[in-house]
Amino acid sequence: MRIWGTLLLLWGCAPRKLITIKGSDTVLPVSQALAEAYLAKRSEPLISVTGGGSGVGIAALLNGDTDIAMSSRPLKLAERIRLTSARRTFVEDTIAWDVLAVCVHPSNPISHLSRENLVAIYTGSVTNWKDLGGPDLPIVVYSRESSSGTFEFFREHVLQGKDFAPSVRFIPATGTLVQSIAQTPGAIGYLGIAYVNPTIKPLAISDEAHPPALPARDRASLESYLLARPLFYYYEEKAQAQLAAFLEFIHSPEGKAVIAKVGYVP
Amino acid sequence: MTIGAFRASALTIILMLAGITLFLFREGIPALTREPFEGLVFAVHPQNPVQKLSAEDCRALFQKNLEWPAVGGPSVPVLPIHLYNLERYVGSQATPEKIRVFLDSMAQVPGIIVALPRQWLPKSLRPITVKWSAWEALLARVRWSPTYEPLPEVGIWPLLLGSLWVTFLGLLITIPLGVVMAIYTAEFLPRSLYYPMKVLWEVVAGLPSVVVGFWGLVVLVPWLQKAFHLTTGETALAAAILLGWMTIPLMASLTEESLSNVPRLLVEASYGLGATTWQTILRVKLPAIRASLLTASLLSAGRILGETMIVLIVSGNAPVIPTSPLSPVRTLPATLAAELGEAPVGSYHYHTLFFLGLILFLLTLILNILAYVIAPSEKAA
Amino acid sequence: MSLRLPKKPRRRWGETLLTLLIAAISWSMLIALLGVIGFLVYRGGKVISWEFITTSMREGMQAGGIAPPLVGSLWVATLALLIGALLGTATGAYLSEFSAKGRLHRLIELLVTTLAGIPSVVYGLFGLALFVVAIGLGASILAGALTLSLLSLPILIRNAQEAFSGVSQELKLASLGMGASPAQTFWRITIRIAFARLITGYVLAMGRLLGETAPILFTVAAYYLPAYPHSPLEPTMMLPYHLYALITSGTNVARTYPMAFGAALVLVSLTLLLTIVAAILRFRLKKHLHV
Repeated sequence: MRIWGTLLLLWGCAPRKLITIKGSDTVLPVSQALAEAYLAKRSEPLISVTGGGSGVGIAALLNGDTDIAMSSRPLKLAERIRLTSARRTFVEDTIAWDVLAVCVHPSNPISHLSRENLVAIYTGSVTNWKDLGGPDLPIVVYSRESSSGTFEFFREHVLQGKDFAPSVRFIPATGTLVQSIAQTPGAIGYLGIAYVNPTIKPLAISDEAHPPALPARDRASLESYLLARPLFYYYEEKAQAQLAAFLEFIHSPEGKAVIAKVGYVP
Repeated sequence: MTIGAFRASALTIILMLAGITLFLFREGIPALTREPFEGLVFAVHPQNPVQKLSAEDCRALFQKNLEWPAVGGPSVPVLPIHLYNLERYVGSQATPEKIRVFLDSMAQVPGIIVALPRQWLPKSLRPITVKWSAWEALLARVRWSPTYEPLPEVGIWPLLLGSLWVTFLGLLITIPLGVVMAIYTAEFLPRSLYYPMKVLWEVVAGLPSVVVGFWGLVVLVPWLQKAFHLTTGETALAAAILLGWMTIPLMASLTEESLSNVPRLLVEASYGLGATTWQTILRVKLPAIRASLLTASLLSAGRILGETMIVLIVSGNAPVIPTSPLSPVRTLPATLAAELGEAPVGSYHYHTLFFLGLILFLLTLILNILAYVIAPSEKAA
Repeated sequence: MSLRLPKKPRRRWGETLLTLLIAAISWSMLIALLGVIGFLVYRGGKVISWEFITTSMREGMQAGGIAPPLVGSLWVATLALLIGALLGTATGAYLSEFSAKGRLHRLIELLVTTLAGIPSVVYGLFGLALFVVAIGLGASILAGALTLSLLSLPILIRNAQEAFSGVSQELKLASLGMGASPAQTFWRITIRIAFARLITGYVLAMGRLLGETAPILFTVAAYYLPAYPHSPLEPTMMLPYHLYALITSGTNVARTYPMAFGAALVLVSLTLLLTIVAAILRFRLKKHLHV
């Protein structure tokens, strides 16, 4: 009996250095890959990665529940105000760029859509591919969950404030989204380029300011692609020392290679 | 001393139920009492005659789906500016100074409507009241878009009806098949296989729902897509089939128990009069357990209603009001699981989700209490 | 069991048909189960190996093993079972042995029945609001275990009640007749005889707890934490959530699916093993007691 008690006590009393990273599901694969690569060489500090969406990560950072908040969107003005009124300084660190690809089923002959086309599709005013020059097939519209940063980015930059049609299917996770598009001839969806695989077909996107362009794969082509956004790590300035080793790794060539391998632009 | 400790443990049960109810109410009621745009002030140009707006009209204005004249305003284009889309105009790195300059310049535009914290409101703009009725927003709207800023859509009907629809479809499978299996096991199964059959039921009921959902995604969903020529097999039907199947053991075991407990007197009398086995089943036993059948159905309904993972994986997750078994749906538990991790604690979204949880809790509570009232000797779970 | 006619009763041919029909329907249930498990074995069997169970994941969860979520799940479920067993068995003992069988007794029984019907996701909500937020444990093993223990209480209470009631009344009376107090009777007679039956219930509850996903989503599960738990205040990976993550958020679904099948097979095997063992034990014991 006493042995168990002591063991239990020891188990509880030995703290270890743990970096918690929490937030955007878009940045999740990047963080996981970086953590994995980092821990392959070092055993401390341990890194824990949890998803939940950009909003949750930032809220957790403010509450002190996480060391690093990962976000696929910059801090909203409201959050920035909260941070400054909390009188703590935070660092915004761009660790990679995410390129959003709009994809359809490989059998779909359409290869280019303008922003107006996308607005029409996602707000429900166009419901059949033939209205866009495609086959006579109903459009099955997919989107990410409403609390994801990817969703907000799309709504802000493509729909510019308009809301989604109720018939849009909201998928809680990108892996399922890819599967759904790959299985459904009339499907269309948007997702981070890291998730694109040969089972779905990315389209060239254009708008008033950008000519039609396929999703960018390197820094140079970022300029000409409409749907590129920076991915951030937010952390408290005070914590910089503890996080230094990991942060250094992220920005090193080794780290950048990991990021590129996962499918983002370092 | 022992007795005291044990009685204390028993009392924690009361504490537990009270605690669950308390927390659900505490975190859920603010969805009814608070406004999602707390801390924000809505304002228009001083020459704009509009004094108040309903929440829908305001939202439509912000989405540019409505023109000013429709609500009594001047014939000018609508310019919506709010805290959450300021980035579009000033960039995300703007300093407070730059923001103020921008806002002051925008305040000249006659068609402007803003939603900003009081300290950011340009002095020249005139505040208006926006009427937010929580009851109406939750119970009279049919759209669920809870993160739309500044006026989210929180109509619960698509979710509630989605849940009820999947439960109904699932019961169409559970009840008949459950009763059939109960009859077979009680009346016709070779006695040596009785316990193995019951073990089988326990096994099916004990399967982790995430595994069943995974199987459904890989096998059932593509099959449905082909069989019904659908654009996608992720439908209410897929969820109902899986859920119905998993709940059959519950229905079957409750029914089988009742069948076995039909008073011997009745059964002997029936056989004594020359009735066959089936005649006895159909005309004596089943009628005798009517109340238990109802109880078992209610409990099965409760079980299906509360299931989360299977629905999350195979039902399509579209918060629309279902029109057929082949529509995608979104249920209450699936919404909770999908969105709760992503709603910052204390936000309006968070409270709305707890409100949903409260509704789910009350629904299952009513089902269980009804079941208990109808046939108090039934053992649930 | 049902009272049946002696062999060869009167039967109409329509009735025979009916019997065959329901027999077919009933056995198709077994076939469906075999189909599900068989499919998992077929797709997941290739991935299972000693390495799979004992090492961590690699290459962005597309290779390697599932050791961290497996161990994490076992830790949380065991802790939850300990807490639940303590509380549940005590309450069951109260209901069966020590209560005055009056209104309080009926109230508690009603509450237990009610709690049994509450969806697991609502327990998750409660766990989030109470343990994670209000008490401030954050997403941790402790919060998850407490939430799961609440979930398991109705099963464990009922299990304990049945176990203690099943002990022969005569023995208990004999003990009391010889001058022992109810507490002494309980500790020296009742609980020892009911022990086997109690364990059966614990095994069953463990099987159920390992497979629960909804309550752990917001109270303990981490997406990636490749180490074994060091303290009850840390989050940990959990097998059901890991399976869900593999199904839905892997960047290369074609490569993560084999891992998912492997994880599903491991999870199902564990729950299956525990459930079958518990069920067999229970029915064996029932047979013995009813002799």
